[in-house]
Amino acid sequence: MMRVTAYLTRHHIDSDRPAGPGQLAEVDLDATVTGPAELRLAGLTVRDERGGDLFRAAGEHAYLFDPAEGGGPLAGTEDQYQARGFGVTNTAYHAARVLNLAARLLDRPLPHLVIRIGPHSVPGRGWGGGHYRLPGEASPPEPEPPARSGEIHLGTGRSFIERPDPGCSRYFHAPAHNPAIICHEVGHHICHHTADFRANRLRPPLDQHNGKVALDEGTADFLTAVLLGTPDIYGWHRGRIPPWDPRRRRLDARWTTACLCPGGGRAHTNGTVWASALWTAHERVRQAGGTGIVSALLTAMTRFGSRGADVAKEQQRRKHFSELLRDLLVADPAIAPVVAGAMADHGILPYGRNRELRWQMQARAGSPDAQTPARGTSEAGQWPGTAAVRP
Amino acid sequence: MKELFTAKWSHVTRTVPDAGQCRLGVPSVPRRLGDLVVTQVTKVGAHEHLEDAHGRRLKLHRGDLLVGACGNRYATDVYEGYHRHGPKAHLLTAGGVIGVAVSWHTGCPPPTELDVLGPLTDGHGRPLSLEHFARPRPPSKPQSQPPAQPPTVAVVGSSMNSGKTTTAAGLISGWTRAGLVAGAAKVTGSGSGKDRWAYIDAGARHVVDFLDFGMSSTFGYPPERLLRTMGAMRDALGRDGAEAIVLEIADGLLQEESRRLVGQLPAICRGAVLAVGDALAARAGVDLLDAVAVPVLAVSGLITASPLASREAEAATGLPVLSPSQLAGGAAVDLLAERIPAT
Repeated sequence: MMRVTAYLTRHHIDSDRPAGPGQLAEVDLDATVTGPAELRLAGLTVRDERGGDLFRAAGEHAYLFDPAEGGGPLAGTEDQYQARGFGVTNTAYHAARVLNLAARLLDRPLPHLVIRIGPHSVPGRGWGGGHYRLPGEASPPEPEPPARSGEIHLGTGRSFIERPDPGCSRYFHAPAHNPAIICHEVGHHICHHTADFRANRLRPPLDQHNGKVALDEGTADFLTAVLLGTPDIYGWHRGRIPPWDPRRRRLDARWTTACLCPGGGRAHTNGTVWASALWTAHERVRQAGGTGIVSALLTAMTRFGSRGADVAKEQQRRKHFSELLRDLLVADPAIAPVVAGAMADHGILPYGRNRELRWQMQARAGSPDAQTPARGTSEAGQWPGTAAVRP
Repeated sequence: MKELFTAKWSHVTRTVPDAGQCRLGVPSVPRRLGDLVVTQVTKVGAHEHLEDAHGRRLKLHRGDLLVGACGNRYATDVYEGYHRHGPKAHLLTAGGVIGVAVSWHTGCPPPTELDVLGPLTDGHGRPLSLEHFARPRPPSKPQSQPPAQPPTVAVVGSSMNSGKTTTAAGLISGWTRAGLVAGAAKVTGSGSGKDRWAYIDAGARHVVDFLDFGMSSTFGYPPERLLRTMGAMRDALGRDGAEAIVLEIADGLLQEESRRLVGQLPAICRGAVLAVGDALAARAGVDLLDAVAVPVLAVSGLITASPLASREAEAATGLPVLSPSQLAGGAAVDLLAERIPAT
């Protein structure tokens, strides 16, 4: 057990423009130092791959690094050292939180996850994001095959975030400092080992499909929102993007299937439709006195990913919202009516391909029964890009 | 005295605050570098247009009144020109530098010819110079520690048209995209708005050039003044709020003033990006910069249009060769990082 610094996120966000990634705090972490820049926990390894001995001067049981405003190119050597060390402990803390939640709800630990910080750190090509990788073709190509059970790669950052409050200095957006990015990528690990949206368990171990479908992205965003305690998961580093813009990926805007974009390359945008529907269902279940839908969702995902034997057929099947919704409704019959109602409000029904759900919702939005909200409404009842439908 | 309602005011007059109060004065004392003059176009040559203070291109006609500033020009691809005190002159730049061209590139038509009518004066008849409108130097307070300066990168080149301004714009764009407030200074050159607009278009929030420090063009000014101005430009941009600064030095490394300024770069900035057109120039430029202890951060410029030539330069110098778009895409931020000496 060691004492480390990390950002706590739950309930720290209470504005349209969060002032930071979280509240800096000391937390206990059941981890050991297994390398110059590596921590190992149960089911998890976190490693900074940019060289140097990050844990050289730390105490025996305390690694209280300073976030140092994210470090970055303008930071001095000591600040950069502090920021990198904090990135490792903050990543380990948040990844462990997500994995522990999943293990508790699934009643089994997930396979070991490796998180590498900076493996794609090419001078001149800063990267401010993260991705989840399995052995197989990927874009950009991986110089070495990732671990079979799954790997997360986090960039080292490429830009600064201007703090909304005057007088605050800029923060270099290092993904390892951003709990939202960490949780989202660990969410993909959960998806891979439950719903397996790309049917990778039916493929050769070294020829895994690294593409993500909307369900994958949306589920990862929803789990992130639950862990962070806010539907505005990217509010800190995307605060300049208006809440109604799809790139903000706010879950409390009522995105519907009418907003689905056909064609490839829209997994994040289309995933927001699924994520916001899950969030609505989650909130309604909680308002009705329940604990939410996370447990039911993980049960449904496990069931969803355990059927079928034909890769091509399964890849097709596992793209459709209605397929997973049916398993979700079966997973916990007690909350099924609330969940079904919430999902229907977003245009997600238990039957129909995504394309059909889009047409139906667009038709509903254009029907005389539809009403358009007044311009400028920003409550959760807003329907971005489409008209609201009377319940 | 004549009022100048119909005159065309060139870019080099952009620092003059009350143009409406100015008059055409009577020639008296010999003119000096930076003095503002009223001229009349007698023959339209290479420069058929004049750039005004806002960057608009004004069509020139014979008989037009043109307000500019006395200066020299050193441009290997265009004119070699000098300030002369006399009734006849040439338009040396589209931005309004007035002097006498003594040689020009074979591909360049003869310059536009002018009659010098007299000095530009204020409402009281006092001749005006760009020096009168230079940025005031801040009072120097005795300080135990000099104030921290924003990280600064110089852009130098092997010659004119080697891609220096495009490289500087790439740096500015990269910093701006990364969320930094970029500042840019054109340290030397001949009065024209072209580079200033390029910096602004790339996202620079703060821009200064030698006009802001009282010079219409820098060729022919004492090196000490140029050295002082280079430091003053960096300091001014820092005071204005720039968080990352690029200093562009005109012409090639072999130009005398550029060479002197480059020698002082280690005291002013983190290092230089070298803009070149070919690998041989890259190698020679790196050697010249090494000789005066200027850290070369990267090679860029025209050479980056050719992947093959870029690889050649990379092999010849051992340095990264970064195109302006690579700089804009993230490399510019990396160049700001402090170099940790190898142990």
